[in-house]
Amino acid sequence: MSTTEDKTRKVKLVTSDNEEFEVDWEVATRSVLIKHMLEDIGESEEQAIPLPNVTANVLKKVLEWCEHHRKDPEPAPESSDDNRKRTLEIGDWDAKFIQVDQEMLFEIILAANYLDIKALLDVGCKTVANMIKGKQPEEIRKMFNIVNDFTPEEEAQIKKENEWAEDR
Amino acid sequence: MSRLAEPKAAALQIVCSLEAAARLRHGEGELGFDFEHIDWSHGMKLGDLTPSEIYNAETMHELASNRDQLEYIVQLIKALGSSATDLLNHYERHLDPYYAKLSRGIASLPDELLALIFKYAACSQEEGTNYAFYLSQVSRRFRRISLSDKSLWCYLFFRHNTNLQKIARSVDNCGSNCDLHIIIKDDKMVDTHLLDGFMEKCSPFASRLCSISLFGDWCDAWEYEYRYYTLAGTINQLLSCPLSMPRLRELNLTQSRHHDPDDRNHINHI
Repeated sequence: MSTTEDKTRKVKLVTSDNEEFEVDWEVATRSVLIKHMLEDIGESEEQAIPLPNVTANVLKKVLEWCEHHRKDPEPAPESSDDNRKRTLEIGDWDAKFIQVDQEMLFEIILAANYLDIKALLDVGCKTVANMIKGKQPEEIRKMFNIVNDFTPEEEAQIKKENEWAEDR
Repeated sequence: MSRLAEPKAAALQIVCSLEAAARLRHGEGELGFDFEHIDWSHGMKLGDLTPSEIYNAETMHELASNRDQLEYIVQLIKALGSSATDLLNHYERHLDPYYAKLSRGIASLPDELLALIFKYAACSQEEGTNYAFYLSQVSRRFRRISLSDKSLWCYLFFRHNTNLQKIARSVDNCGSNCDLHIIIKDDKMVDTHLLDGFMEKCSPFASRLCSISLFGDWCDAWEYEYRYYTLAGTINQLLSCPLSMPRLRELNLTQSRHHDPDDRNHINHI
């Protein structure tokens, strides 16, 4: 539970390329990882939190998201693994925020995963899912420059599966 | 210069090198590629010759000719090797940053994140496992990850022309005990006369069915004497199927055509 003192507190974060960011406690603790680290170090305000898996340009982007969502309620725990309940909808601000090149998109996903920011991870994963949803395999390969590394036997099996798909 | 222009220019360099090699001159004349087998047969005899042997003019001429042609081949190979090395360096300079970016792209995501993306991407109430099949056909990694997530395969999509092999394959991919869901949606509407057939196709795995979703275009009336395609008629048709479905807990009926909002036009989760 956060206190009033916490909310006025500043947190220092140090990226892998040694850049330091000073942000509000409320913004930094959108990351569960940072929140736990802050709990571990206690009241020591001067101690910077090292983030060896995040570069400055990515952290800047992540913090932009955290700043915008600083007042959001804590995400509810997963209640169901039912696929049909999953929606690909993304809020307007998030959709604009995530309009970045592929390289940055995947960097944000990796950073959100590392920093344990579930809502941001979902935004990133949904964006990639929207890019590939309904696309034919060859289109997906082209979009992400993925090499078709199937063996001839596997290709034959896939060809058979495509015959089954003719009932669309 | 466009992205492809530099490699093209480098490829042109190779062609130019080949042309230059073809114009290489040795001594007095220009050499070509017109090697005759007989020339080489003389060459093969070289080992039999001794330095003290006195060559006649004809042998000397042939041996000198062979030597020149071999020298030409060596120079040609050197020219080709040099051009190919230049081109290789050129490609590497051009592609390395791109590969480096790609390695930080989708390939850099760990399996669990790719699996999460697949859960979103393959989720489709109207397409069943079609999208899961697409994902499983992209690459070996995509296939391994998509096949390892049984939840991607548990929504079975039926049309009048559904291939049962595909349904069976999806059920196989789900494992032996996973809950299954069926979605029945035809081009325009599900003919209630076909429902018996659909349900019969489900009989091998009926005990695992957890939900049935039916997209239709029912007439306004709940029940109407002369109109068979009513909600009541559809439900009666479903209920009359002699299948044991102990796990069934959800029946979704979705009206596919929009009627007057005051009518019973969209009924979900009955």
